[in-house]
Amino acid sequence: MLEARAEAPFAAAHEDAAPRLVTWRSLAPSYGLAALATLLMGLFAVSWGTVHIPPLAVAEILLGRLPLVPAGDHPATWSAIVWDIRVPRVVLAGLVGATLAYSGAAYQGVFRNPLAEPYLIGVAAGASVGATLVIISPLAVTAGVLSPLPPAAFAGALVAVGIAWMLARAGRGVSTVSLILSGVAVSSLGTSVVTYLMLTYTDRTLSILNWVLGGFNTATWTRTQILLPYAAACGALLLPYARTLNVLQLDEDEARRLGVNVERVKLVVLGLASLATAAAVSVSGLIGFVGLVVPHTVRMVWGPDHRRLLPLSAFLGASFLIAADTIARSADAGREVPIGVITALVGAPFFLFLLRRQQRARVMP
Amino acid sequence: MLEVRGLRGGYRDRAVLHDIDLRVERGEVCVLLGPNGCGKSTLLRAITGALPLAEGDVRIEGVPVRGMSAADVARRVAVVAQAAPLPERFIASDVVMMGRTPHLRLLQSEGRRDAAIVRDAMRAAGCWELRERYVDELSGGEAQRVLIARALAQEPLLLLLDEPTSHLDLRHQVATFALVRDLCRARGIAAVAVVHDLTLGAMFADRVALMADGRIVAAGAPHEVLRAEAIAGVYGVPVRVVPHPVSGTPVVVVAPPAGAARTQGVAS
Amino acid sequence: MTRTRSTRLGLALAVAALALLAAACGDSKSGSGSRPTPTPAASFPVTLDRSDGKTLTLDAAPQRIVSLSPGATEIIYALGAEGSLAAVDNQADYPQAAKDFPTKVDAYQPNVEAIAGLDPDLVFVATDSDGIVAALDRLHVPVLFSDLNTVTTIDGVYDQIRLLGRATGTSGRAEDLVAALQARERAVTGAVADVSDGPRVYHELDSTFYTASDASFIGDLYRLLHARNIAGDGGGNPYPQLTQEAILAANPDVIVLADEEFGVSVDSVKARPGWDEVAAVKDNRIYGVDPDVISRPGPRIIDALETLAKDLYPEKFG
Repeated sequence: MLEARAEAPFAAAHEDAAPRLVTWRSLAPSYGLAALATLLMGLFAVSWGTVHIPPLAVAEILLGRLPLVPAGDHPATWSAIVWDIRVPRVVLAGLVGATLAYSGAAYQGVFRNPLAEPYLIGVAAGASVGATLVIISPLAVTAGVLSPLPPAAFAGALVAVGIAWMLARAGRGVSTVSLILSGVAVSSLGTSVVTYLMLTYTDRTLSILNWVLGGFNTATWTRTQILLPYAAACGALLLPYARTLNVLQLDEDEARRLGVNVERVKLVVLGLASLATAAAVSVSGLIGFVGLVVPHTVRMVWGPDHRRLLPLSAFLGASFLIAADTIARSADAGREVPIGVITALVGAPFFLFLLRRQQRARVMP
Repeated sequence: MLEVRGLRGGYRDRAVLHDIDLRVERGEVCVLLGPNGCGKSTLLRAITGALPLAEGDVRIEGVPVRGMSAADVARRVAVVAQAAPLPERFIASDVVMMGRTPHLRLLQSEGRRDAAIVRDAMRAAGCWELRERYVDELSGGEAQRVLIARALAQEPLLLLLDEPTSHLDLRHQVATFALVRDLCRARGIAAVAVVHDLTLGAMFADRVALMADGRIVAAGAPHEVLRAEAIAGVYGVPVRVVPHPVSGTPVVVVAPPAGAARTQGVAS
Repeated sequence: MTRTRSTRLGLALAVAALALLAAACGDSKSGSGSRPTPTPAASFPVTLDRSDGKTLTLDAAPQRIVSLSPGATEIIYALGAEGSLAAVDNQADYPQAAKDFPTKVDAYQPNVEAIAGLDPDLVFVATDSDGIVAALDRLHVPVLFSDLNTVTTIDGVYDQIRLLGRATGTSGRAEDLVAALQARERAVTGAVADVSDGPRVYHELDSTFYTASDASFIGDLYRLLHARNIAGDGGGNPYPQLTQEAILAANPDVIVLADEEFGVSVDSVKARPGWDEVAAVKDNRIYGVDPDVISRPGPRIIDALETLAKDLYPEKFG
């Protein structure tokens, strides 16, 4: 034993080991695994629901669309339920979950604040104002292609973020503290406007509240088509900034001294994340906790490196929201449970857990 | 190869620095001394280009800093700030690797060469054995070595240190100064350090610049600059300067105040 | 599809006999005059029970009534007592005279001062929002509070009519109205008495699949018609939200839409992905209904019953 220890300093091979490198290639296996896990979660979700459809039948129904695969013999309603109800819901829930989660990771990276999440600087409040204005207007509100609701919510979200950004500007840049304050101000204003409208247009109160709570019970392929380009493009454009976001964790002055154009990075990262979040809430309402809880979880398990944090948050967010939506549509025997309730039921205990962990870290040497 | 000429600059409503001329050669350590508020840290900021200059010029190897992008500056100048905050849950080698940022493009990942530079920097700074440790768990002295390693990883021509030792105990203060001086000599890096401790600064510096009210009142070798009258004039405290019994560098000792108050200002 | 009033009225006349004609005559469609309602001397003073357990005593027939409930407004007009109205709520839209009534007050966010300022001698409240009942009590304004949530059946509507009859001194007319409505009700329920397995019904309240369960007022109508509400008892919830999967699995025979004002139409329902296998869609049995008529506890509830009867049993009521 003693000899081995004496030997250790001279174990040249081990000593000379260079620090482990994080490259896109080295991360590929973890991305692949995460994608696979999400896919499995999706398949599980599609086989689960109020109507009991045996997994074998589900597999037949799913594969039956492929050429050369024989279509099985099962009730026509089953096929409709799987392809027209469950699959669109699962896909949309996954896409929204991924978007909210990676946007949350981006926000947390820029603000370096554990409470940061994608609704921080006004996306949620702005979207709800836009949606409410459409709901109370004579415009028809349908779940169809030409519904003006998603564009209105989207526009509202972007306007609110733009206002918050303008308010926070001072001189050359935008300080994160100013942005948080202006974001809170804009959000409060938006919320009070929506509340007032809800109480004035009482025959629409339920519709407005319903939109705000969010959910996937009216999920359609159209909504997925609306969200997909934004979610994919913003996610892809954020990934190159992952390493820079790591450097940003050093505090802005240090990052500047390392050559990072901090103001531009903040603008680009928050801009992309806000755009993606605006698109997500415009098709699914305001679902809370995903953008906050998922990135924290990924950080706790896999570390703070954003090259891992951003993509893994996306996958975990997708799985999380798919699971939550499955519970939302199956827990109460054919009745919908608002999905925000489920995410909150997970989120609140999670906060307590984070708090205890924080306290324990202080107590132990 | 750091040349500052006729520099005047400051904040929006008032100029802090006046008429600054400074020259530091490769491999030299120049220590900035002076009371609080005399402009030492501001001068460092002006050198990196973070401060807008009303007049004057800062050149590194003949290239003016004005007009350089942040990345261009970062490829030439590395800064070790006072007790810089370190992010949670990153390990030391990750933090040192961040020093490679100015040399990497947006989509580019770190490569084997970067890893070799990091290893070399951490060895030189004496923190290689800390490479897998979480930075938020390091002691003051250990963290300082990691920051120095990160600065080295930038492959700088110029190293700026802003009170790098004020928060460290005596042993680590000495270790840090020695490390910086040895690294600069070995790698031909010029260094400018803002320091509080006159004696330690003098012991490790090749040149000293004494500042007061935004001006350099004296610059040169330590024993030339650190004279009792000059120090008393700048700091407003009576001192005695004696040669160090081992190194021969000036040791500044505070003279106990007499009953009667002394006048401020330069005593001849 | 909505049907015109005259078709319904014609149908009602064909089914009922003399009692229906009397009720139709009693149904005042003209605008309100300003002559006070004649009252038999013996009906006052009258003591009425409120939903909060207190009682209200009226010494004389009220002449300045403020109605904070659109259902009560309809009943008051049906009783011919509209001459005593001082103000109606801003949701009132039937009959036309109520919609055009010059003085309106907000019923959901009631302003106590505005109401008291009208110097009413009776305020009818169906929803105690913002503590309006207590506030009016403090100002010694006579308040008749009859909680809307307690009206869960058609019999509850009859009780409302009787209550308002006593409050306005028109008990005689109230009894006549109730009798006429009951006759029409019996005509409908009699015709479906032999039905043991009525059609499965999905009643849609809005485009996110909110429905009315057996526990709701609307659910009571379906119960009378022996229809099977796919929402069941809603787990106790009168207005649960269903999942699309559950709706498809339940395969309703008839779909009743109460959300056409939200842009939902027969065609948009048919176009919903996955719904083409639903019996109601295949058999083209999707009907719209006026949400005000069907959910307001007033005399038109029997109109709603008759409409639904025809939708559910075209072979019996066609």
